[in-house]
Formats: sequence, structure tokens, C-alpha cells
Amino acid sequence: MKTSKKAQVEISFNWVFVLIAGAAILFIFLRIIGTETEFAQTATQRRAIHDMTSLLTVLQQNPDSISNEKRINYLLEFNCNTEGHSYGIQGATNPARLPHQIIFSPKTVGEARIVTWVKTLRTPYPVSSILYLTDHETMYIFLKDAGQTAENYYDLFPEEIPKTLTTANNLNDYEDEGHRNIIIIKNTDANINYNLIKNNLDTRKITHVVSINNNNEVKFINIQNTNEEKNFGSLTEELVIGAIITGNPNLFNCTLNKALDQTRIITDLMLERTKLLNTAYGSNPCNTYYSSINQKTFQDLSNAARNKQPIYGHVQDIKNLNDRILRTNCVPIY
Amino acid sequence: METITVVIIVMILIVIGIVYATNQKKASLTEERERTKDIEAMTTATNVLSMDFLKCTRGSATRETCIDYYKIKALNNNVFKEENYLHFYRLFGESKIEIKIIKNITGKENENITIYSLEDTENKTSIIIKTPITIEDAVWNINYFGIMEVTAYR
Repeated sequence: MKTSKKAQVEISFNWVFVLIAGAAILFIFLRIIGTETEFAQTATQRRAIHDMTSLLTVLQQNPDSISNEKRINYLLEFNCNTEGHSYGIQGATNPARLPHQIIFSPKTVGEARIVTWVKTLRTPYPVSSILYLTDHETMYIFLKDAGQTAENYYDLFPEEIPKTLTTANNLNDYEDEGHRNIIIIKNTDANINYNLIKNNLDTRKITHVVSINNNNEVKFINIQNTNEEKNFGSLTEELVIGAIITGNPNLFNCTLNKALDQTRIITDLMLERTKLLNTAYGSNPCNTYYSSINQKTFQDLSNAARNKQPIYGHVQDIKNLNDRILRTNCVPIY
Repeated sequence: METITVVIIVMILIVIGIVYATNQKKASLTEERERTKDIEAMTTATNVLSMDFLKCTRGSATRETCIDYYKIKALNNNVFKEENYLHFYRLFGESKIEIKIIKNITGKENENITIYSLEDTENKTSIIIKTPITIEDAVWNINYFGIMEVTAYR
């Protein structure tokens, strides 16, 4: 009887031991899996940031270039919030900041071949490089109009970017080829039936219609609530392309503000240069081109950029003045 | 008793394995971080060299490796203005950008223009990148030979 009781205690002890040891081993393996997942996410995030940094550095040296980059297997998400413009892999807790880089992209890019297009932001002198970043999962649908506004931008878009030119009536027959994002571009005067778009296209893929008029004024119209519009006054061509590429008013506004801020800085620099030219020329007749009246054209552009007002007219004024100087032997203002 | 010993030994081996794997991961991450810092320093240098607004222009045409003398002077006057400072700090970080203009072979009239300087040398190594450039004084129609020296701290 005594032996049987001892054996019973031993059996219970073995079970308790097995339970404790099993729980410990299970805990250790769960920790390993957790740590590995965290490492994998951090590594992917670091790789994404590294890839993007390398890309930006290379592209800065290749202005006005277009390239079909390799496929990336992760999805990058671009955001604009109170902390500024940032990007990272979806769900990452530590997104990379884009404090001064002028990058126009849709909200999500990736899990596809990406396309990069570099242009120089000119106002009319070079301000900075602009990177348009999109992918083969984003389709740009341009709607024909009498004024050919959207058509002109269709022609400007490189072949590497998925695009199509159609009419507002034929939009109803558009067959979704399974793209992740769809961005529709139209002339402000062109009428389209938003209810048909909502019925025919997946509204998760399309959030806004980008509307452009002949003065390069851009309007983002919310598909779900067409009364909700976001307007941007007269912009330069490069910035209108940026609006089309993003298809998102919030992201566009974020990058536009950086572009305008840099325009203001470079314009102030050009103003300072004009003052230096004024001093260097002394009493030479060329001096009239750098007088305080002409310095005001720079001041006007600087003020417009500072106050986030339309800049296109001021850019044209500076260009016209420079064209006049180019017909003389005097040093151009840019 | 034997069972307990075997289980304890197995657990010790697992713990040793985990500690080793973690250390290896940490080491590779530290190495990667160092590499990233090197890239950041190189990026600063590239940012300077690709500043389109400093280049010599005639209308829309830009001359590569040529820098406008009056633009450098203007940048020098504007870079540390309060409203511009943050922009240039983001662009150049902790670095020093100096342009040496060789006007005379004797060196007497040579001009050094420091267009940006934010030095924090404490416990930091630096990468110096020197690039030959042409500096154009369009008013007097003279092209000078110059060296752009970018010292990036990391």
C-alpha cells in the first residue's frame, strides 16, 4: 500500500514537471518567433529605407530620367500627418521621414515593378529635383476634352507609367484590369457622371478625381462626396504632374508645401544675386536690369510661395524679364 | 532523475543557442547601422554636388561642374537666415562646405568661401570629398578654377 502511494506521488510529480518544462519550452519558442518576426519587420523596413535612399541619391544625378525599376516585394505606404511627410512598409512603427525631399507618389506603392521619373522643378530657374514615384499597379485614366488639357498631360506622361486616354462616355465601359489604384484626370469643364464611376469601378481603388483647367489650377474631387473639393491655385507644369501622380490631396499638399518652401528659399537667393549683380555692374547700362523694380518680380514670387498662393504668373514674369536680358550682352538674372 | 538531467541539459543548450543567435543578430544590425551612417555622409556630399540652383545657367541650359560666383556669394549671405536654416540643415546636416577659388597662381588673391558650416567634431569621424569645379564670374566673363571641399561628420 505504501509503495503504491509513493508511486502515485512520483507519477503526479512527473506530470507537474512535464507541464512546467513544456510551458517553459513553449514560452521560449514563442519568444523566438516573436523576436524573429520583429527582426524580420525591422530588416524589411531598413531594406526599404536603404533602397529608397540609394534610389534618391542616384536619381539626383540623373535629372529628367525615367526608369522602370525592379519589382519590390513589399508595400510602401506614404503618409502626411502632423509629423510631416513619411513612408515605410505597411504597419511599421518607425516610418522614415521625408523632411525636404520632393517626392510625389500615390499613397501605396509596391508589390509590383516601380517606375521612377525625375524632373527638375523650375520657377523658372532650377529649384530642386522632383521624384515622381509610382508602380505598375497604379493606372492613370485621362479623359479627352475639347481644350485638350488632360490630353496634353497624357502626352507628357512616359510610356513606362500605366496610362490610358478615353472619353467621359467610354469611362463606363472601362474594364478594370486588377490595378490596386486608379486615378482619373479630367479638364475642369468636362462633365462626368460620378454615380456611374462609383457603380462601375471599385471605390476602394479610386478616391479622388484630379481636375485641371487651362490656367493649371488643380482640383481634387472626392468620389464619395463630390461637394468635397480641394483646390490648388495656378501651378507650374511639374507640380500639376505631381498632383496627377499622387491622386491624393493630402499627400499632394504635403509635397507642394515643401516645393513652395524651397521655391521661396531659392527665389530669395536669386534676389540676393540680382542685388550683387547690381553692385558689380556699378554705373554700367546693364544695371537697369537689376534695379529695384526688377528685383520686385523676385520679391513677388517669394511672397506668393511663402503665403502658398498661385505662383505661375510670377514665374512667367521672371521668365519674360530674363528673355529680354538674353537678347543683350548683360548677365541673365538666372 | 535521469529524465530531469536530460531536460535541464536540453534547456541549457536551447538558452545558449538563443543567446548566441541574438548576439549575432545584434552584431549584424550594428554593422548595418554603421554602413547607413557612411551612406548618410556620402548623401550630404552628393546633395552639395547636385545643387542645381548653384550651377551656371543661360536661360534653361545648365552647365554641369560650373558654379556661378554670384550664386555662391548669395547662398553664403542667406544660408544662416533663421527662416532658411532648417532647410539647409536638413540638406547638409553636420558638415562644412567650402569653395576655394584659385584666382592667381601665387595664391595671394585666392578666395575661400565657406557656404555652410555646422561642425560637431566631438567623438565624430569625418569624410572629406574634394571636387574640382569651374567658377564663373559672368559680369567680368572670367572662369576660375576651384575646389569644392565637403567635410561630412558622422
